[in-house]
This record gives sequence, structure tokens and C-alpha cells, in this order.
Amino acid sequence: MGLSKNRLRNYITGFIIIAVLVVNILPWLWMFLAAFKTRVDLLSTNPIWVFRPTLENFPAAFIDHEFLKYLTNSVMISAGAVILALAVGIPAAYGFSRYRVMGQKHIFFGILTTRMAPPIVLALPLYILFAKMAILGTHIAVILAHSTFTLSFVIWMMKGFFDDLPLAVEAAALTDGYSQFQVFRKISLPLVKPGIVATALFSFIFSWNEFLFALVLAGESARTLPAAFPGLVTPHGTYWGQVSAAGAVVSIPVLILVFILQKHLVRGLTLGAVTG
Amino acid sequence: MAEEKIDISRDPKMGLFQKMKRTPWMWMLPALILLVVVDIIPFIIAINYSFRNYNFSDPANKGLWIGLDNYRAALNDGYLFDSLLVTAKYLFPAVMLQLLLGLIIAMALSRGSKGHKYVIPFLVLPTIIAPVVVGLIGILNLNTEFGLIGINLLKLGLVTRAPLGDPSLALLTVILVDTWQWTPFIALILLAGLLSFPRAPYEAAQMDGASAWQTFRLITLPLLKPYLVIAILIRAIDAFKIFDIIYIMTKGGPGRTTEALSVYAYRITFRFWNLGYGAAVVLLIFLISMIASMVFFNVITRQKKVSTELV
Repeated sequence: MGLSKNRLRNYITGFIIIAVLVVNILPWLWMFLAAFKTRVDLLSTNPIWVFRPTLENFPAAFIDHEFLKYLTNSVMISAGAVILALAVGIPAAYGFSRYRVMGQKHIFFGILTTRMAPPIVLALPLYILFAKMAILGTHIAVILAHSTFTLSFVIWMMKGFFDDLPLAVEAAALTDGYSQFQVFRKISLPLVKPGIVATALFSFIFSWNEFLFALVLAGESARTLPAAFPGLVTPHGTYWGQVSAAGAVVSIPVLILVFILQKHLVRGLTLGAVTG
Repeated sequence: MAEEKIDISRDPKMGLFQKMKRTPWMWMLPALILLVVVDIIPFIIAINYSFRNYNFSDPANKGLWIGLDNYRAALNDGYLFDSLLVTAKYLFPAVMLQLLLGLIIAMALSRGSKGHKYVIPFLVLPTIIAPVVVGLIGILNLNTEFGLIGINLLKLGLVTRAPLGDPSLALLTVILVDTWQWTPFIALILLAGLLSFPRAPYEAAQMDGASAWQTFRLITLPLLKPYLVIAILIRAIDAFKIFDIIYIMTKGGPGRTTEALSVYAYRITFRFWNLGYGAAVVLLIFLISMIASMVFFNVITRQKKVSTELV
């Protein structure tokens, strides 16, 4: 009796997990398959699962509709936003972790408050500011805009990793006559390397996926992949094959990174939701 | 983030760090400069604009000082109120639905032995891919002519046309797409909680012959409460920002049935170029989210143990 009840529970558990996976993967798979369908197969009124795949959608999107350029922009902007945020964010995180700074709580609260507002709140004033600085429509503009969330993400994430380090080693190095900067560079930084990698990859994903700032600030010349999608959804119809091809290309790198980031997924996504 | 963990000034062994105390600002200066450029200056600009009548689509409005007129107009703006209402009508059901489904999924995953390690990357797929792509997946699947879900909904007679184009179904559809996107995130937070619980109370309950429901209600739920609170808060604050999937799927339509706050603010600023009024509106939105984040901070400091674990 007890055994069969337990077995029933296991069946229910298994059913839920499989159902969730099907629901989560199938809609994405539908788009992924659409990327390899001809227009006729794609617009078929009977769902087609088996078909003769075509690659025609990829050159149509990436060459004819210049998605290759947008892809390059996306890579450059995400990389730029990550490098900028790491360069200024890691030392700040170290500072916050090692010192009791006057007003630290208020600074943290201030950083977070601006992050908790919808991005449109910053998009408008950033647009005006960048117009005045004459950098609207450049990569720099989008990188600076993305640094608003990558920076606070890096500071929070890295502060956690620095907090976890044992202080004894650093104290010993200071006794040996290392300067505080040498301690940071030669001891703390190498120890948090895995943390830096995880932080960088998460920041990359958040910048890579970002839509509104890119839509408003990038113009044509610095447009990223996500911001280019509305251009394929036209009043005369949507280029679904091309949309799907580009959608597949946008999501694949992220899906690969998830496997690498598994260990940090809860923390990364939680902080990402709070700081993004 | 536990601050007690490293309080150098109180630890005699760490006295050496005292001499570093003089220069903490050096470490933060670059970050603070960047924050001033991308946060403080834009904020000042927005305040300045909100008192002026800048409108790029109307050359007569050259930025004259008009005092509180923009704010007065915003408080009397029926569309703004409507968009606040749309946001609320989306936010509460969406977060509740996601919490319920997330709890069921987390419970199921916590029962499966080590298997969840292989499941999780696939589980979080909707959360981790670009929201714009989530929106596109939504349109592509819900289309009643060639979409996987739309065709079947039509066959079953549940819809008569694409649900995103139906004024009575569009907001519900947005809620469901949002639920597809965010339920895995809630499940992940709750799973982290479930896996961290001590075994002892469960073993005791089993020995006392407690039913599954009793075990859930009397042991799991109280232990899970702080995780539930944090999941709700983080999700609610994030849901308040909703823009991407609505912009891609409906642009706020049909009519204005899915025009959430951000979508309306976008229309004022980047469609009608009414920047002065737009600045007042975004500052009001900022005010609302600031109040929300103060609540968030109060709660999160009270749930310190869990927030340390998660954040």
C-alpha cells in the first residue's frame, strides 16, 4: 500500500517534469524549426514536423536584411558593456567588501532604486543626454546605457565573491609588505577568477538580450539584433522565416552559456532581475 | 550579503586593514563617476525637462518653463491612469499564477533525485532567452493560420481568431506568455529553498504518520515562506517594468487593451516626441517604483538569512 502510494507520487512527479519540459521547449523548437522551413512549409495550416530543411532564411536575414551587421554590433556592444562594467565594477565591489564605507547602505540603495524603475525612466533622459553629447546612434551610447545595469550587477555579484574569500591570506600578504593594490591584484583577483567569469557571462547575456535602450539609442548604425526584429515585422507581413532564423541565432549562444553557468544560475538570475 | 562576515574594524587580527580604511573611495571612484554620467546627470535632465514644454513634433514648444503644468496634466491624464490599470490587471494575476505553477514545479523537481541538474538548463530556457524573442515565439505559436498553439486553439473552438488580436483575450494572452517566460525563475528560487531544508522535521512527521498535505502545510510552507516572499517581490518589481514582449506582440493593442505603463510612456516620448510631458510621466513612474523598492528593502532586510543565500 505504502509502496504503491509512493510509486503513484513518483509517476505524478515524472509527469509534471516532462510536461514542463515539453511546454518550455516546444514553442521555442517551433521557432527553431521555422528557421529551416520554406515559406510554403512555414505557412502551412497543418503543423509540419517533418520537412525538407532549407538554409535560405539565413542569408535572407543576415545578408539581405543586414542582420550580419546587427550581429556584429550586438557582439561589440555586449563585449564593451561587460568590459566597462568589470573594469570599474570589480574594484568597487572589492572596496564595498573590504571596507565599511560611510553611507554604504544608502549608496547600495541608491544604485538599486534606479534599477528597480522601468528602463523607460532612464531611456528618455539618456536619449536627451546622448543627443547633447552627439553620440546618439553610436556603439558608445548603447554601451554606456547597458552599463547602467551591467555595473550594478557586477558590483553586487562580485561583492558576494569577495565576501566569501578568507581574509587571513590578504592580511598575511599585507604583513609581508604588499601594498593594498598588490594584495588586490596578486591575491584576491586570482582567487575570484571563476566568479569573474560567471559575472562576465551573465552580464554578457543581459546586454545581449536588452531591447529598449538599443531600440531608442542605437539608431541604424549601432543597432543590435534584438532591436532589429521590429524591422522584420512590417505592415505588409512578417518575414517569419527570417525572424525565426535570427531568433535562433540570438538564443543559441545564451542556451550554451546556461550550461556553463548552471552553478550560479539562481544567484545570477535573481540579481539580474533586481539590477536589470 | 552578510555584512557581519567581514567586519574588519572589529576584528583585532585584521587591524592591518585599518590603514587601508583611509582610501576606500579610491576603489569606488571609477564606478561612481560612471554612475554620475549614466544615472545622476540623466536624472537631473529629466527633472529639468519635466518643468518645460519640450515637444519635438511641435516647433512652437521650445522648452519654456511651465512649472508644474506637466505634472498637473499627468495627474489628469486618463490614458496614464488606464495604463496603470492595465499594468495592475496584468501584474497581480501573472505573479500569482507564476507563483502557483512555480511552486508545483519546484516541489516536483525537489523530489526527483539528482536528475534536476540535467533538467534545469532546459527548464530555464524561456527565462534566459531575449524577451523580444519570447514575444516573437508568442506571435509565431499563437497565430491561428500557421502557429502550433493557435491552430489547435482554433480547432478546439477556444478562439475564433488570433488571441493577440482579440481585445477580450489580448491581456490574458500577454499574462500567459509572461507566465511561460517567468515561471521557471520562480521555480528555481523555490527549488533552492526546498533543497536547503533540514531533513529532521520531515522524518519526524513521517514517523508521526502525517499526511502529505499536513506535511506540506505544517512544515514545507512555513519553511518556504521567506523564499515565497522574495520571489513575489522580485517578480512583482520586474513585472512592473514590462515592455519588450508587449511592444513586440501587440504594441499596446488592440485598442489600448495591453498598453502597460512603459508602453504608454514610450508612446508619449518616442512616438509623439512630447519630451517635457514624457519626463514628468517617467518621473512619476520612478516615484511609484521607488516606493515599491523601499518596501522591498524593508522586507529583504527582515528575511536576511534567505536573502544572503540568494543574493
